[in-house]
Amino acid sequence: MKKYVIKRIIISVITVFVLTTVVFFLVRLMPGGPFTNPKMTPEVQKAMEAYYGLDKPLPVQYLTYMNNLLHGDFGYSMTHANQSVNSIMFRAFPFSADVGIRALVFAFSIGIVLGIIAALNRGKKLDFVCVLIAIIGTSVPDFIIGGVLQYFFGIKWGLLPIAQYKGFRYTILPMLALAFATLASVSRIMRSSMLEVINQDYIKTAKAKGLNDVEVVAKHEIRNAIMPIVTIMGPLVASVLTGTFVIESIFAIPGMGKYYVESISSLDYTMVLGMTVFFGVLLVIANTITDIAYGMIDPRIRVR
Amino acid sequence: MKMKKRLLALFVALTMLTGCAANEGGGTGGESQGSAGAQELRLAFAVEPATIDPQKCTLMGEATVMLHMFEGLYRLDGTKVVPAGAKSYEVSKDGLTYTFHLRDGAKWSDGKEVTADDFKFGFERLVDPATASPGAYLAGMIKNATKINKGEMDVSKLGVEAVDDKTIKFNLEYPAPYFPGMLSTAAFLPARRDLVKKYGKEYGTSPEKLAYNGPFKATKWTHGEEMVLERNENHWDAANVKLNKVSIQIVPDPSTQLGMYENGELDYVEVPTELAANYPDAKKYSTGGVDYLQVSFVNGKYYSNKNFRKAISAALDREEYVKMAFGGVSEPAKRYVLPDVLGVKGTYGEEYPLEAFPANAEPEKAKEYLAAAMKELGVSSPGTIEITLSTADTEDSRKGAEVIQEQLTKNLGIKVKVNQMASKQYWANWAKSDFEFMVGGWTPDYSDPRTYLDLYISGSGSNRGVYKNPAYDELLEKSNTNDLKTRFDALFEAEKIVCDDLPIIPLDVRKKQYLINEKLKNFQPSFVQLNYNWLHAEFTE
Amino acid sequence: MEQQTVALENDFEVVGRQLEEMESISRPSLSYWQDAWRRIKKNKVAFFSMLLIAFYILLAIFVPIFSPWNFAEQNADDMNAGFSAAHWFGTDSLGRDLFVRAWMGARVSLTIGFLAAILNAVIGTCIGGLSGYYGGKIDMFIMRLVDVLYGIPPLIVTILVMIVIGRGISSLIIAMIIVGWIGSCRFVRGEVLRLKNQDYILAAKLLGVPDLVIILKHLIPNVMGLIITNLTLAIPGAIFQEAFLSFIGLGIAPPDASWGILAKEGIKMLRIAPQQLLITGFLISTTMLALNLFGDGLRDALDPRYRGTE
Repeated sequence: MKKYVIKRIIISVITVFVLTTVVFFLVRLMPGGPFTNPKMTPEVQKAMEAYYGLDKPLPVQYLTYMNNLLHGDFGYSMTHANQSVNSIMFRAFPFSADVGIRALVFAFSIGIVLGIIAALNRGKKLDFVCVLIAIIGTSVPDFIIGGVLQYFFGIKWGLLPIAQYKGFRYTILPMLALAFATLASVSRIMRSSMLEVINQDYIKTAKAKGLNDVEVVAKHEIRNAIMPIVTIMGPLVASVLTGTFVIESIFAIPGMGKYYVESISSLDYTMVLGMTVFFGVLLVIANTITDIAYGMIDPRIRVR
Repeated sequence: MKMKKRLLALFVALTMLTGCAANEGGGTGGESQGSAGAQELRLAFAVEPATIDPQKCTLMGEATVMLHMFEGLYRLDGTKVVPAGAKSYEVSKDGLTYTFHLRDGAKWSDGKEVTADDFKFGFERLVDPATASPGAYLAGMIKNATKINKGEMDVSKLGVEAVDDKTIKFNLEYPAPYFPGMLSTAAFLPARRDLVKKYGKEYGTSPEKLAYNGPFKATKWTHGEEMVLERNENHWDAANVKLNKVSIQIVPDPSTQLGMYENGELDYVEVPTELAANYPDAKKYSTGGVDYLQVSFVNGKYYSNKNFRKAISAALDREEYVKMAFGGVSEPAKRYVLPDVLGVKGTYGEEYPLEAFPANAEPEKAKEYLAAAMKELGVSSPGTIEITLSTADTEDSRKGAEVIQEQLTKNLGIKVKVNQMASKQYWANWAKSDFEFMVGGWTPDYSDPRTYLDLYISGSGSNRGVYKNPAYDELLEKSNTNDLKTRFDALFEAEKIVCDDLPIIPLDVRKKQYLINEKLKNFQPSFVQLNYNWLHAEFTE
Repeated sequence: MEQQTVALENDFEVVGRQLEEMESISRPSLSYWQDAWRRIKKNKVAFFSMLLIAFYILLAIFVPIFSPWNFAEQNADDMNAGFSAAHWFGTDSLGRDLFVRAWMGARVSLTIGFLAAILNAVIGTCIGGLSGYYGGKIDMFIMRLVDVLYGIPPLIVTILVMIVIGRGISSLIIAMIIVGWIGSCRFVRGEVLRLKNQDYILAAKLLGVPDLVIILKHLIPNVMGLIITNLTLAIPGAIFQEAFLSFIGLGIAPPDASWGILAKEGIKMLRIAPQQLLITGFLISTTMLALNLFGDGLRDALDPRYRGTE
């Protein structure tokens, strides 16, 4: 097991390395640059590019960047003068993570439960209700849900704060908006997976053996059905934690999502790369945990 | 069923868990706290100021904040430029040397006196290539500034001299009567040599890494969330400043801002144009921006033909355009230069009126011009003409482009495609002159017609359409004189050329609607240099 | 005892043994697909959903052809109008007829949604299936490739694709596929991992069945249910992705419409003319609902184990 984990770590590092390299060059292929701005004369642009080392040949820039990266230095943001990428990311991340974690816990717990209920009551009213909730969740985009929630609970009825993130009450609306779609997907997948499992022979055997319902469900059905959920959990966690642009915009939450989109449209190379690396690291960690979890849940799968 | 109950219990437990894991951060609120009595102004910006270091200023939002925390030699008050850090000046006969006498008793927030060297250092820092200052080009009229910025000369050769602690002298490259007015720009604010040395790269990254010589000082800056300004008691005019505190929340979404205002959390908000119909009584102000269609004289077959350009201009229904794309808030362009800029004594618009473009389309005339153009170009029918309009990816752009597309198609019978692209690509293409026909615009850097007219001088860095007109260039040369009447007459002639020859086809003058707390007085939205001026704002009962 | 024996003799007729009949199957033999079709028809909800989707597709094809209004025709005097006899869905903020725009938009959104989602599913299933089945180095390599692709900001990929290929529906779909196949790939890989160690697979291997046949005939059909469920979730995802790209100006060019673009315009007008968003939302939701219910029915029909109500 230990050997496996170490092997995974090494491979993860290589993956992040490859990702960083690809994005490094990809982002420089985009037309324009961080200082392409009608109000900046060509001389000013050149001066700013020199200031950030963009006038050096590409391979030199690459090596400089990678070297700094190994020392944990992500460089300075090109649009937010004098602010280091590290400081921006580490300041913004806790906000995104906070909303994200709440939303994920909420979405997964309720989603799984709804999926199980639906599967066990297949064809009956309860099933239909659960499916309906799931459909609404997947057919209404999160910004509409966010906007509608904000309008009714915040502006019209004044029950909850409209924007910003300063205490528990502020977290409720963003969490709900973010969780809704995930909750819907999770419940759909769980339901579908459970239905697959319920029809398996070994379930029939367990029932025939005389195991009561709860034991059958808990010990056998859920454990097998949960695999697809584990599959999507990994990358979903990584992406939710790095924030969603839309929800953070609507609720004025100073998280990473905003910087992610903004840095691409303003071609702030250092920010784009910084966030890509950050996201990449989260992703490989999540995937490694997922693969280990596979092995723990189902002993037959030991990914080697 | 037992199982259902257990599941339900699990469900409830998990939701409670989510709630309990809550991070009960102490809310500092921002909700209405009787701001009127406390003289506290609450604003929201969509984009956070990237910096409070004046020599690194790029955007209006930053300039707005900086111009309240620092004080230049001159200051913008409404539409007028008034002495601030300087109390008087003399200018030499040839208009090339300006000597300013600084005000007595002006102090920085840390108690030190404001000296001529502080202003000199501000300019030096601005043009020094090592600073990589985006606003360096604004100092172009100062002797050697451009060369220094290019790295061809040393900073010490800049035409700025600190004669003594209270006197500063400027040597210019050419006569520029608007020079004192430009001194109110954010880029020309002073800087403290000792503090820049002390903090180096960190200078201006947080409130305590600076000193302030303006009416307010920054006391708190939580990136991405809010910035707080408080009165600077050391300011020479502190007695006349009524506000105690200004808090600026960062709220990216305009609808959210509107919601906060209606909830009593803000004292001022701008109304998104699509909701304009809901607020017919809201006040309006000019943002200074003018939008136009820009053509290239080197790309595309049709645009270098004057009749073709005139056809397009006549085919546009500007009134309908602003109604559909801007909810009727912006106004149809009657001319090119913003009439609100300063003229000889009053505003340029009053002294030199011009109505070059009708509010509605003139389809007959348009077809005539097009017929003439087609003859000259050897084109047989309008249906064979296909042009592509480029536009950026901002929210308003798409709608505006659709309206123009429809108007030109309907009134001229030609084919129009719209090419929408990411902003950076759009500007990169513009910078390379790699466009044919695009929706563009300009915001003024200072309150003078030249900020709009300089764009079309042959060879100008901003003349990306590559327009060449010797008569035009001559007029602008002529305007380099100290005699104000001659100067503005020449500029007016130049503007008339633009409106006739159409290197750009003006569309509209940008305006914005806003809502404001009725107890708040003297809060001035402005069209140049900063977004709002709250220097003399106060809450009354 | 004696009574029973007598009863038996009178009640039963000895027919004798016929070898052929012993081997015959008592109900008609149907192929996998015929059986599936039969089951779908029986599932009223799924069948109705399928009809609804077909109806929408027909509207999408024919409304723009027969409508008196051109979808690009603007009218400054009639902006944001409500429902009327002339404009069944009212007008949008530029005075264009919403009914015809809604169905023009349907063309774009449905095409992109279906094509992108299906292509993603096909590519993802193939790669995921192979990765999960073979495991080892192949799996490791593919999964790490997936990680790298997933980490690249999709926005960058999309913009670059647009620059290379130009704009339009096909480049949008290509841009969406380049990164989109990852979702179903991971999924299928997970399931194949789970299933490949089951006894019947081992049995097939022992019998010498070639790998490809095992994957296609034994593994995939068992995963099919989840693949289809995933697909029905992926189609709305694809439609929203197109919407998001349209918002930031990377979608289809004006004056063309898509449901995403209509939704965006509808949100802006929410406070003034809420019916615009409601209509678009209704169309999207009912399409999703129908797709989901049909997908459910399809999954049930294709599941070899679930015989449903007979």
